[in-house]
Amino acid sequence: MGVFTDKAAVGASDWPQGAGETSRTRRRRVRGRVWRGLLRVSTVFGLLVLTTLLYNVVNSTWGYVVVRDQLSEQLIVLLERSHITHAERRVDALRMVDGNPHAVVVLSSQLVPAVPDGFRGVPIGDQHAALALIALVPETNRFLLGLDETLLRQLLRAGSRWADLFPHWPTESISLVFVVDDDGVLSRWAARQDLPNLDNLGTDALLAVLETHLSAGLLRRYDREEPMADRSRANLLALVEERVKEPEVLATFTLRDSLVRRGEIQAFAESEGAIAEFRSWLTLGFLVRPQSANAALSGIRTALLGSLWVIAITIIFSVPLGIGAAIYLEEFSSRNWFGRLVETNINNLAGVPSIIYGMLGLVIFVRALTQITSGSLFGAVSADEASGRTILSAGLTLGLLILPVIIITGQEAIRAVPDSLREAAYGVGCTRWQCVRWHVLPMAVPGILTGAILAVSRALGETAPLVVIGAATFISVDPTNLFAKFTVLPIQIYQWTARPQAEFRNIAAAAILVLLALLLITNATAVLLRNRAESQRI
Amino acid sequence: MSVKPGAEVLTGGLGMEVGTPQSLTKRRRPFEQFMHGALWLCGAISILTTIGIVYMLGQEALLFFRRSEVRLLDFLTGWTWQPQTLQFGIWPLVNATMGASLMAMALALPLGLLIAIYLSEYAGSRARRILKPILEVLAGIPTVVYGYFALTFVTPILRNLFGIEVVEIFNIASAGLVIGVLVLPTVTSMSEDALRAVPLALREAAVGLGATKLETSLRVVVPAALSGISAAFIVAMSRAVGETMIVAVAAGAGPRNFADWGEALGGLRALNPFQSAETMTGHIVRISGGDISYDSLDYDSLFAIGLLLFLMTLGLNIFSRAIARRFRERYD
Repeated sequence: MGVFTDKAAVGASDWPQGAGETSRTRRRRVRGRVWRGLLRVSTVFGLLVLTTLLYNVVNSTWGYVVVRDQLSEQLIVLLERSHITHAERRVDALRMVDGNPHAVVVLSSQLVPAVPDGFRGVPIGDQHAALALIALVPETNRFLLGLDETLLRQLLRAGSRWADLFPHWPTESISLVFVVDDDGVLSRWAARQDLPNLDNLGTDALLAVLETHLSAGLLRRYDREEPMADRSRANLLALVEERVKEPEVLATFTLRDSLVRRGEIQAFAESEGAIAEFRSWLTLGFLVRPQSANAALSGIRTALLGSLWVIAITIIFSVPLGIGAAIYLEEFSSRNWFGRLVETNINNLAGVPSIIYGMLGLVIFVRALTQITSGSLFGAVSADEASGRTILSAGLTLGLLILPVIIITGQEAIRAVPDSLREAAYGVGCTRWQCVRWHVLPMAVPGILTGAILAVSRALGETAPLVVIGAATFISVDPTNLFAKFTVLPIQIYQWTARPQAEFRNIAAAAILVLLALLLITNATAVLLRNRAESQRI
Repeated sequence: MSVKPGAEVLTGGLGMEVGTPQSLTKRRRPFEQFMHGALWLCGAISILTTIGIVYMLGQEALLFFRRSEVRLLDFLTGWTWQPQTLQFGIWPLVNATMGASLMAMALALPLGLLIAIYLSEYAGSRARRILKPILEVLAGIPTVVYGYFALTFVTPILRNLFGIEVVEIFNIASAGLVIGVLVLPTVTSMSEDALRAVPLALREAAVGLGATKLETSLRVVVPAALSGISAAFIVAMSRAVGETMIVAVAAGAGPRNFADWGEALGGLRALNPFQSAETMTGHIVRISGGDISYDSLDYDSLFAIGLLLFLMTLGLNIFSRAIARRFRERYD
């Protein structure tokens, strides 16, 4: 504001005189400067919070994660090539092999303090290490004399018969038995063997892995959902990852820790017999995978689709209604009691907490209108399993929530259209509606749409009302119609944040980044729209 | 802008010949009437929404109060909210809500006012162009993201500052502070509007009398805009009271109950901001997010809380508008 007089224009003699006066003036000016500094600093606060918030989210989205697989990929591949069994059943394994000259048992030396009768023990790998592997060859075997790590590796790569390695060996098939131990000796050995990883296994191999590892009951359940034989390779691979590999997250680290304390993290992983890998929780896979109880395998596909469905309903319902109401209030309603009532009423509605809208949605859409919102009226579901907790209810509830915002911004946009335009329209004989349709609306549309988009972006981030009307806590099926159960992105974030396990915080952070990106896109559209409309206007 | 003069307008858009003005006014225009009616309906939807809110809250809350297990007096004065033992005293929830809101205002009130004074009195147009969008972005961030921020960032900082034994993982202070950040843009933009509405002549007069810029701002402009600033604070307070996700994530899952007023206020334990407590909104979200059966006592009790919440926010909003209107200084 340019009213403040330039100090230079006032001569020094015009200022109050005397020592007391000067020191008081100085004090006042110093106070002014101190306060100005304080004001500046407080203004930076907003920027500070915004940066910390983003830093906090990014910090959790990338970083080291220490994972221990129940069964490492290499072991799963071994499993596909040979018998495999768990440490508790090592005695059975030995009994099974005992006296069979064509079998070899490989296991951690910890599991067999002394070589059992009837076997030759051959140490494999580094013999000085505390935890080493040992291969047990039955005494009855007369041909396999110089077994060592190299030969064992060749056995793994060879075909199914001993004769494939050396022609003078028996033509019986190779029977390798690996015993998995809890100390990770075998898996560490397997990790060094340069075996193909899971991605190289074909459909048949994956199916075989599942059949040997999963219980019969679980297999039947999966088969009921979708027959195993019909499943795609990707689906089988996902099942193997979740059920056989079973990655267990031991600890996750923030991006900052990952950069600063890398050595400690590696040492920790080493001591736990696990692998520390740098992981981005936000990946393409995260976007397209469905929900899972395992954070490392979970994705936001259903939530993302749910959000899009719900927001589509919200837009279809509230944007036309809101614009209509704005037009009515600005152009049609004479300032009578009804107009004033609606006006006050809308202002009050805009201040009602969103959770109250959720309760309204629960009572009206979910319960009173169950027949419509569950789709049972249209035969989508049978009447006795009708539930109103659907995408349609959610969309309508959010529609009611943002309606006042759309109306208020719409009114402002319409009010900004100069009256001369209306007068000209009436002057050439337009009716009211024609004036609105052909003269006021084209001028006000950019403003109305900007307001509507901003309101929709608010609905996109809204959580509380949808929790109240009853979003599903866990769904793994894509929503395909209006009457499906739903979950949305903010609810997913809420549920993951509320979990005590650290790794769910990481995927919550990744989901937050997705949500913020979505909001950024919507808001950028609004800004672009406004700028374009302004540049087109003369 | 397309003004389309010509045939359509002259024939009234209905393909009829132009008559005398009198016959024009009398002519029936079904489409016109239809549009008028349709738009009226759009406007009426908002009224219907309000009626719906008041009716459903009133109806369900009435069901709650008419149950034999519930007594209105206990509801209004009790310090224990424990549906399992049929104790429905609203004060633990109200206390937590007020605690979080006051915490929020303790941050947003001074800070918001300082920022508003800077933006309106000190900042050049370039600084304002940069700073205002930042505040708008803060206002656009979903509240569940703020909840995550409170739990994973603010709470650990508070625990480091005041000690792990003092500050619980879920606490009112962290939720309140983050709500303060959430309502900061509201306080700032409304206060700034009020400050900028103060006419230039007042500032000129102050400067002419020898006041420094600071003295002008604090002693002349701020008092002149006080009504608008108070309105901003009250609106922000109402938003803080109704805020849900931040408290649901960061403030705790369970009301902080006391036996009676004496126990609650003795040693001010009810006011400790570093302990967990459940607010009205937090309670509604937690209970309705679980498996709740309709027409149960739990379900009805939510509507009693909802009604109180609605009345509180509505009261604050009406109060704020009344202040802005009543005490607005007119400078003409």
